[in-house]
Amino acid sequence: MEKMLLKRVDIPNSADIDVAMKNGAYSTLATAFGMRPVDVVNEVKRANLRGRGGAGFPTGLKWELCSRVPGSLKYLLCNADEGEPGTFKDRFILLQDPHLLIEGMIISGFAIGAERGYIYLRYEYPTALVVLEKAIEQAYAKGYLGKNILGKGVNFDLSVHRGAGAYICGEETALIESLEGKRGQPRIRPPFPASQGAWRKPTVINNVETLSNIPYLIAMGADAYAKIGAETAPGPKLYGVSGMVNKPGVYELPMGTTLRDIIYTHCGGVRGGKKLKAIIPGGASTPILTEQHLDVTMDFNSLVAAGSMLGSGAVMVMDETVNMVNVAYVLVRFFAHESCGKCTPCREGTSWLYQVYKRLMHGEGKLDDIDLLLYICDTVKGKCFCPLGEGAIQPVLSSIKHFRGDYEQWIKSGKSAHV
Amino acid sequence: MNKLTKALRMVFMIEIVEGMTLTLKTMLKPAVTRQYPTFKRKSFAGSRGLHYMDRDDSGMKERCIGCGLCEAVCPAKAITVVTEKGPNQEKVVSAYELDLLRCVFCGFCVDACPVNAIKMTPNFELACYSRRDVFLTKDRLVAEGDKYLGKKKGGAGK
Amino acid sequence: MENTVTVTIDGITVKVKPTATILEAAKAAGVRIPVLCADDKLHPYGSCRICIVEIEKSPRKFTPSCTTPVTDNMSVKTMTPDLAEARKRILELLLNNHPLDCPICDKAGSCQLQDLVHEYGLGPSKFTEKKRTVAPSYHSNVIDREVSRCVLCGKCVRVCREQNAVGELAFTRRGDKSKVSTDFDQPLDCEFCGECVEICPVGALTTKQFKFKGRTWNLERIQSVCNYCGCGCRTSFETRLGRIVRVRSGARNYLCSKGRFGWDAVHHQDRLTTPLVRVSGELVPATWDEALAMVVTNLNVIKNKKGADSIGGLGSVRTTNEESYLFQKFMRTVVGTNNVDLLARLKVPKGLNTVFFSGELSKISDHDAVLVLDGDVGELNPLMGIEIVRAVNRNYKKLVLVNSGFNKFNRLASVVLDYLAPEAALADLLPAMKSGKGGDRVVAAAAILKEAASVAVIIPGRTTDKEFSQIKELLSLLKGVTTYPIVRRSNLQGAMDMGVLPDYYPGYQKVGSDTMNRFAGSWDAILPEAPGLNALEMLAGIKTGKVSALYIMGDDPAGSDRGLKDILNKLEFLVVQDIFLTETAKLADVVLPACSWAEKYGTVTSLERRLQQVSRAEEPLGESKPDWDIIQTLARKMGGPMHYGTPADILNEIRSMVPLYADLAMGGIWARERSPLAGADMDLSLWSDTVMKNEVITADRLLFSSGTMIGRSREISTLCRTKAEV
Repeated sequence: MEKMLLKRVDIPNSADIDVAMKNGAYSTLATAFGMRPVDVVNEVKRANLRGRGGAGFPTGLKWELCSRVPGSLKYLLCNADEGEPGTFKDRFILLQDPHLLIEGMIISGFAIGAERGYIYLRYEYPTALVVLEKAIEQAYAKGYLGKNILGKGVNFDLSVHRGAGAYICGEETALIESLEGKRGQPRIRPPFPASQGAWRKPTVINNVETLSNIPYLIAMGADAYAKIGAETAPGPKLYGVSGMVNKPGVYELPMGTTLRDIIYTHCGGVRGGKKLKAIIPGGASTPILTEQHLDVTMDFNSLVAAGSMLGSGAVMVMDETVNMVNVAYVLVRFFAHESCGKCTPCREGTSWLYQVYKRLMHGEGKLDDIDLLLYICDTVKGKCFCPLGEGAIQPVLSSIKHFRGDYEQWIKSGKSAHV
Repeated sequence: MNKLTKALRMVFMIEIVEGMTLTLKTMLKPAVTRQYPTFKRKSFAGSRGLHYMDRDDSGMKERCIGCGLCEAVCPAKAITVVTEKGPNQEKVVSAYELDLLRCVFCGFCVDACPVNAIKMTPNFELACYSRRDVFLTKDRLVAEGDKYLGKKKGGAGK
Repeated sequence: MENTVTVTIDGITVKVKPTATILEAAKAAGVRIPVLCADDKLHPYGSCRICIVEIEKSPRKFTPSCTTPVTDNMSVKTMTPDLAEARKRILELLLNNHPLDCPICDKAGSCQLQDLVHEYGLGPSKFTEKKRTVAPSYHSNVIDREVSRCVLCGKCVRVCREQNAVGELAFTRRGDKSKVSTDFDQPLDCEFCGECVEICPVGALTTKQFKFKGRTWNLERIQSVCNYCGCGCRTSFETRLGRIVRVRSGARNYLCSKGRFGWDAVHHQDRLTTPLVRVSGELVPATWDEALAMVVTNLNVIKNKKGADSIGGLGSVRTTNEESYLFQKFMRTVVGTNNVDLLARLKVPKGLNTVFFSGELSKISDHDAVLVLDGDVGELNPLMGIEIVRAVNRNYKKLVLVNSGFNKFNRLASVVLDYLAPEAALADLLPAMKSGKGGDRVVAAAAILKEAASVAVIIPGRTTDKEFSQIKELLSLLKGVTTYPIVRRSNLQGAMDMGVLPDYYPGYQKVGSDTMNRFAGSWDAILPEAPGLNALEMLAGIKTGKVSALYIMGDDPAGSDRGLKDILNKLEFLVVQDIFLTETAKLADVVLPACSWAEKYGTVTSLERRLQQVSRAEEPLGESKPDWDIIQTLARKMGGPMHYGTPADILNEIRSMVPLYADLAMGGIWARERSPLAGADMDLSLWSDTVMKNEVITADRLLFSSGTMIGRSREISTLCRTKAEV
């Protein structure tokens, strides 16, 4: 497949607007502005583009909901708070091709009628901040941002808002709260952001990758776009493969490539020729899969059928040397640290899980603790305010489900690890 | 038949004979009356007599934390617990009063106490000459405890 | 009801608004759903997850009822075995890090967590790790924070921000390290209303005042009314062993710092316990008989020597209606003069009860716009301030604020008119209302006010003549106006209703020959014909010798104006009836000890003109007596026929004499139309620039400092940092 999202990333100095423009950046704007906003929305709807942030919500539908709300003041937010462990696909675009994102945001803003956009950038991406701010400055200088873009009467202002280092702010309502200057905690839905989002105005929040898809989608048309990849969720997808493979990195592949293809064809197989043990298919909050799931296609529906989720498409590969208790411990520690503390199950549950794991890692575990872990997960399950808590129990549940032997062996051995 | 038996019993004064037999039998047995207070019977385990207050682990003050559960549970409303704030933000029992005239010695206070502070001795000899003496204060309760437990006297709380 | 949806809760079908949450629908259906973090006062938050329910045909197993809106034909189950287990698990999570110190926790007995755990019956915890503890914070005034007990429901944080618009408390840190704290963990610096303590479902927030004073199940609750401002908030005195230990809101609305913490003035060591009489220049304790005999003799002597009109009576705004009524009746029938007035009329808003009648406070937030002409409203009448906040924060109404300083209302206001005095603001606003000309802000304010179909106008407590006419003009330009005059003094309305006025009999019946005959007939006494001297004329009369004796019931003129000391010293005879040895009482010849409002029965009338019952929570201190009893004893000794058994007898007489009160139920409001003064373009206020120049002012917040009573509250005095006198 021809690369789309990553077309320009290998070009030297691709973040510069002149280089980017020479290679096609901002060329879709004229096409988009030639359409009615409602047609742009319909085009995206027809292409069945689904959000790349993790939930896979149909982008066109989201836009339609927002664009239908009366009122002139609307916001377009770009979720660049890429905090999920194992995920690094957005950073690639932010660093190498910021103009793709900006172009996507201009078109999206035009489509939903938002004249103000914010990129909510992860605190831990300081280089991306510099790159983005320079790119936005250049775009303003060239007249792609600001008032009356391309002389078509379209206005769009864009700025970067840097987060303060909270994973929870990747959740859209928490992102809005944080953007408004409040404590980063998820907000009650309904009202949904599409009707009352930032500053109680209609707001659309899209992932970096989703917005980056827009220029190509508009340029090639919905029909051609829908032919790429899986039928239920077409389009190219960035897979960030990390862990024990020979060639880790960000790969642009059609939605619905199998795990086997990704790991063995594109990433050159497991490092050192070792046996594959476990795969986390979509970032820390997605259930762990095993070798037997290698032929699952990486798209929203088939991964759910396989008992996991596509998430952000961050594939983490682990070989036979890995102790799954340790993996679960590290992930649970992350979630306990990042729980915002709003709702009881997540706040108390993740912290309890972490304490039990800590005990296990110190060699003080009992075999009963495995059941205790499942008990805590059951306590947390289905009661949390936002997906963080639900995500936090996935590594525990799936690691016990597939690798109970690891737990029993570890506990019986009485070993302790330095953690 | 019944009537006949009744009549015969009446005629031969059977009942009086039976009664006199018991009387005569008992006359020949040794007396069971204990000469209280010269002779005192040993209390049964768990008998509920005069209350006392245990000391805390330091031995410096009473164990009571002033939760008032004994007061709440007391069916006779014999207990009054008054607490206040101490210098270090702790709860200080400024008064613990138990009115023995109201007490029915049910022992609920002992059961209710979450820290086992209020307990009961088997001492049931509570007669006294003054109304003041039936009014147990915190210091008196602690002193009773010391007496009962054979601890050293002095330093009874605040 | 148009536009409703039908919801079935546990088989009970109810129709509710489409915006209602499941929790509200359940309430309407009479089904209880256990909650921790939800409260009627607050926007839904959804953090505790106790209120989860099961919705039929929902993809989610559990749905939080407090945040989920109803949909048509929704069918909800609030209690299933699964839900019971789920709630139990959540409680287990909450208890994991909750210290089990119920025996010494002041909340025990009324703790929602305790109740829920009891209800769901938790066994031994599976949690074997060490409990998380956070250091408590005892360094704030009035309020202690036992942080370890916190369940992070966020109610305190939200009530402080949403209801009070103060926002002193906030969450800090994250995850299981989250805690409720202040900026940089500094001591609290807020209004100290204690609403956070009140709303806390557990014992994480407690008051220093109540700390370890008693267990909640031992407390007796007596419903009464707050005595610190005209709002007339209902309070609940909670007593233990016959002593007040805590005061809480009696109607679940709101109490300010004074109402909640200021009651301890009742226990102040300076309370008068015996009558005092002046013997060779010194005030010495005396018996009631001695003291009253001295009053009788002296008043009779002066009356005989100089006439009844040389005696004046100053009533009080802190006494009950019955006492005010009896006081003016005593002055009119027994002493025989109409010289009876309230010094507090100096602080009456101009036009009160003639031009401006207050609306119901709870309806402020129903108006489309609120115009506040005095930015200090939150300090003077805190409940009024809370209702204004509610209008903005809950009902999303517009607020136009005239304020020269900066306070919480500035953050809420749609437009702030930053003028030194309402006079200047109105001078600009009036032309803007009429012609649309003026500065941006004034025009914006005028636009809001003109657009609004109903406007609540907060009238300042003190206005100049110019402002008075300006406000009247402004009101004529607005639609659907309700006025809310700021009335700082507690029972001012009642005292005025009861005719503690030189030219009006009770119920604003003008002193004249026909009214005189009527009252004389009912009271069975000879009444003076001419109107008496007002308070200022009485004070002036002392200088000229026209007034030789004063009977002051429950007021402290010398305390509020040091300059009056010399004037009062000129009196031949001064009787002061008060609960403290005030500056004025120190000058008196006879001091009669009265009961505080917590020690007597009676009624008071709030600024809403609402009749409310005051009840006795404690026995009268020492030999002190209720004011009405003192007056009637004195009256009997002076030959007047006064025989009342209880304040209820007096209220019955009031009902027969005052049409306004004739059929006024307890808790009812007398209709403004029925007042003889309604619509009269006149003014009962005595204020002018020339009087009260030496008034004591404080540099502190008005909320924490004022007068005889609150100045003697230990808790409130800890809140005042500075005190300046002019």
